[in-house]
Amino acid sequence: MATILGFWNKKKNQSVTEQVLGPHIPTLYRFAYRLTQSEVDSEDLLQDLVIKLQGREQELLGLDKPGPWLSKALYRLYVDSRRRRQVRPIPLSDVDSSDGYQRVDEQPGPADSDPAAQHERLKTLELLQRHLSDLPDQQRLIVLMHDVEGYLQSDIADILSLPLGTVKSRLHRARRELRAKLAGTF
Amino acid sequence: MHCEHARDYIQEWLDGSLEEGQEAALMTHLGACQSCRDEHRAMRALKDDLQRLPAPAVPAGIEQRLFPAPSPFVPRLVAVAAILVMAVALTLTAQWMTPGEQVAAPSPVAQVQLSVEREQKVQVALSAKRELKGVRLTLVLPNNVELAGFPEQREVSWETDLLAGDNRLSLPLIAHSAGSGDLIARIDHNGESREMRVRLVAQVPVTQGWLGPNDVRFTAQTIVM
Repeated sequence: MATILGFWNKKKNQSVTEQVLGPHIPTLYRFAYRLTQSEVDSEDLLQDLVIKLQGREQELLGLDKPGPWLSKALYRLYVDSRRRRQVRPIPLSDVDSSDGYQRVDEQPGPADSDPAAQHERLKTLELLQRHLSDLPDQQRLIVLMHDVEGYLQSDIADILSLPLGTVKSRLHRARRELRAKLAGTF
Repeated sequence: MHCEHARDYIQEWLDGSLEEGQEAALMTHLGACQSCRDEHRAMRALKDDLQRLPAPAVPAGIEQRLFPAPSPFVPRLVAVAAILVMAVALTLTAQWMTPGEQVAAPSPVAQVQLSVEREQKVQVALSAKRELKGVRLTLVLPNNVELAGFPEQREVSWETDLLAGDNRLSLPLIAHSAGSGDLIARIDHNGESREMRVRLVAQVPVTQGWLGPNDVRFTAQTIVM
């Protein structure tokens, strides 16, 4: 059967937007996912970002730290266009390596080889995810950005337009709440 | 150190912002306080678990969707019905030979008439006996013809995979002046190279093409639309 060749895979001159944005797509996609909890919305958000950046090539080229800048632009787009669609978090029991999902840590812990321990861990993560979704929006986002995605607190402060002290105190409060809720469920 | 202080330090430690002296003080306290030791362990476990929360893998092909190449195909596939009325499409088949077989330098296998300043499609079918990964395709255009979407580029080259069987490539061509020259389609793979030529004759609009002589390795047929 004839196949149309992937002509679009040809070597081409990359646009400035693509050059600057390209290396950050994985990080931005994950951030978008943390914001929207939806894969479709995440890609839409990135698409919106690309459109938003059209015509701003000079600004992009002048960026010292494009990563946080792009995250901030993405976050603003998210806030601006927040059309809330209530999406359930990913059911962790459905997560395995074959369904396209990946974990942040690529080194499986010793518990991963033990089915019972693995089951316990999944239960813990499910609880954690449920408690996370109960947190106030910004607390949840700060935890996700810092403890899950590894953003610096100073970058989070910049992206969310919050004082650094506020980021820190909300992060600490969120952790305490999660810790207390998890302790209460064991 | 009071426990309350130690709890703050545990958070700072999780943040990675605890200074050396503060960390030593915390560890000393943890050595003597079971309750804070439990808190430290629980908070560390919490952070570990947070880092294990799943996220979807970046979808395949997202970059192509975000930054579609200025490909002639995407928009023109939509517009193809309108173009077909005047297009002269030629299908050529290049048989990919097994390694070691020799191919004579090809003469043009067909001739296609193009109308000046009118986009027309030439279809090239590449037939592979087996799947070929990382094939480099190169198109060389005569001076008066360009590939739509690639202004003033005489040569366009890219890598792709060929599936076993026919792989069709649709080339939207625009002649900017009258004249004739060869379109060369070259395939390189693992040091082997195949080439086919199509004579392009650009003139005042003409709607019919004709075949050149069949080559053993390149068969051609005309489809006039």
